[in-house]
This record gives sequence, structure tokens and C-alpha cells, in this order.
Amino acid sequence: MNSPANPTITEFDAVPDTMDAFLASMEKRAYRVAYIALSDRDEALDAVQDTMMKMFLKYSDKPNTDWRPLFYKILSNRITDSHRSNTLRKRLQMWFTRDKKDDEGSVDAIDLMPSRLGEQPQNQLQSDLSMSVLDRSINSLPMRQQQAFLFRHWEGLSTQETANAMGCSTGSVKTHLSRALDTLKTSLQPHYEHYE
Amino acid sequence: MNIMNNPNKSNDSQDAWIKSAVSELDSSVENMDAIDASRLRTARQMAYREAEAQRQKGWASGFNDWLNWKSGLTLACTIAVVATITLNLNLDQKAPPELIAKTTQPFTQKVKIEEIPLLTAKEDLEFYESVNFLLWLEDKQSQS
Repeated sequence: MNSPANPTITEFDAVPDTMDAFLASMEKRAYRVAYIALSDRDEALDAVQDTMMKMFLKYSDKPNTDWRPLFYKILSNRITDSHRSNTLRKRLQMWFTRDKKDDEGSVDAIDLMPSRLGEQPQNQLQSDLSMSVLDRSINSLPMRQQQAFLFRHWEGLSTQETANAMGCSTGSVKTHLSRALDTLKTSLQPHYEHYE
Repeated sequence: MNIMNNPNKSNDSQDAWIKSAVSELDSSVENMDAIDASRLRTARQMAYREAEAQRQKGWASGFNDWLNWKSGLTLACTIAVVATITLNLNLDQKAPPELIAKTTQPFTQKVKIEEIPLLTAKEDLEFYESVNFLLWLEDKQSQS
């Protein structure tokens, strides 16, 4: 990775020649990015699989130096799509459960309403416990800030590459990154100092 | 300090927690459990197969489109044009040399001007008119 926080990792400096090898080198990191964003293993896996399929289908003939930014652009769009569809689904479920409550008059809609990403409360609790402090801290950030932090500091993309992946200007990337760092510093700096 | 433009300029304390966070993310990837790693491998293989299937389907549907009526019409026109050009080329090639020579000869007059007496006569036009009149008069007398 090119980030100064971890300058020793150079596995991405040499991009593999074949798309399959490239995706094999990216899949775990992509899965982590998707999982942090979506908080659901299956959805994260679907997002990564769709991204890989698009890469195979459309970008195999592109120069391999373009693959990484393209990969993260597709993944970013796919995660955004998942968020949108989840939000819509939640709203619809809230709407229908409200109607049901009105009809029956005995069921509390709050009890029926699925929590984050349609999970039941007990499953969500289990999911939260399985997530690390780091995951939860990043997950609590708005989507754009998550991506700005992960792409810039973990994946080591340049500001321009991050902007391309996120589909925004470099100025927006800097703003999102600044806000993300401010928030994360509050939660993570004490956490890591405690364990040092 | 502004670390937005260049993360290299971040101060030590900020660097420390970012370094720790990045290190934790890296180790979470390196130590990913076997089930998730296996699912990812399978997902990649499925993505490859699905992409190949879609590519094949794309070619097949493209071929089917090519075979629909619009393509058929285009094909028929193309065949007609090609056939016409080919036939013309063949005709040109099979024409005997004398025919080619004949069609390329300069224009020759078929009827000689000397065969039309009126045009070549030296007499005045009034002479022929008077001759016609005498002939008519003779006809008239013989009838009466």
C-alpha cells in the first residue's frame, strides 16, 4: 500500500497480468470494504461477486494499470446501490408494518421493523459483537467518508484515483477524508492508546 | 496541519492511530477465516463463469438479431448488389474480343447520303414541283 501509515506493503505496486490473478489479489480487501459498508456478509459477498463479474465482462481488455481504480469505482457504485435498495426496502417495510398495526391494533410496528439491513435485533447484536471496534467506528461514518478513508489510507489510492472511484471531485475527497479522520480519531485514538 | 492534501504530512500521533487502524485492517484480511476465503474464491469462479455465459449470450443474441427481418432485408439487398456487381464483372470478362472491338469502334454511317436523290440532285426544287404537277395532271386526264 502506498499510504504512509503502512508504506511497507507493495503487493499492489505490480498489478497481475491476468484479470483472474488481479481479482484473486483484490477479493479479500474488497470484501472487507464491502462488509464494513454493508454490515452483512452475504450482501458484501454479492457486491464483490458482481464487481468481479463486471471486471471480467467489460474490462479484461483494458490495460492492467487501470484495473484497480476501475475495480473500486464499480465496487463503490455497487455498495451505494445496495444502500439505496436497503433504504427503500426499510421504508416499504415500515409503511406496511404501520398499516398492519392500524389494522390489527395489537402489534407494535417497532417490534416488527427490521433493524439495520433487515436483520432481527438478536442477529444484529451478534453481528455488532463480531465486528471489531475499528469496523464499528468506520461503519458509523457516512458512506462517502468511509470510502474516502479506506481508499486513501488503506488501499493507498491517490486523491485523483479516489475521486474517480467515488465519482466526485478531488476537493470532495479531501473534505470527506478530513471529516472521517476527525471522527475516527475521536473513537480510535483512545482505543489504540489503551492497547499500547 | 492539513493531512487532506498529503497524508505524509500527518503528525506522529495521528500517524500512530492511522497506522494501527491500517495494520488491523491488513491483519483482518491476512487472517480471514477459511469459510469466507472459500466463499470468495467460489464467488470469483462464479463471476468468471457468469461473465463468460453473458458474453456467449451476447454473441448469440447478436446473431439472432442479425437474423431478424431487418437484418434479412439488409442481407437480401447486400446479396442483390453483390450479385449484380459479380454478373457485370463476369459479362465484361466473357465478352468476345471482336464484340469489344465493335463496341469501341468509331461511329460509322449506315445509310449513304448518295442514296437519297433529293438531297444529291443538282436541279432546282421548282423543277421537281413542276414534275409533280405534270404527273398529277396526267393522272387526272387518264381518269377522266
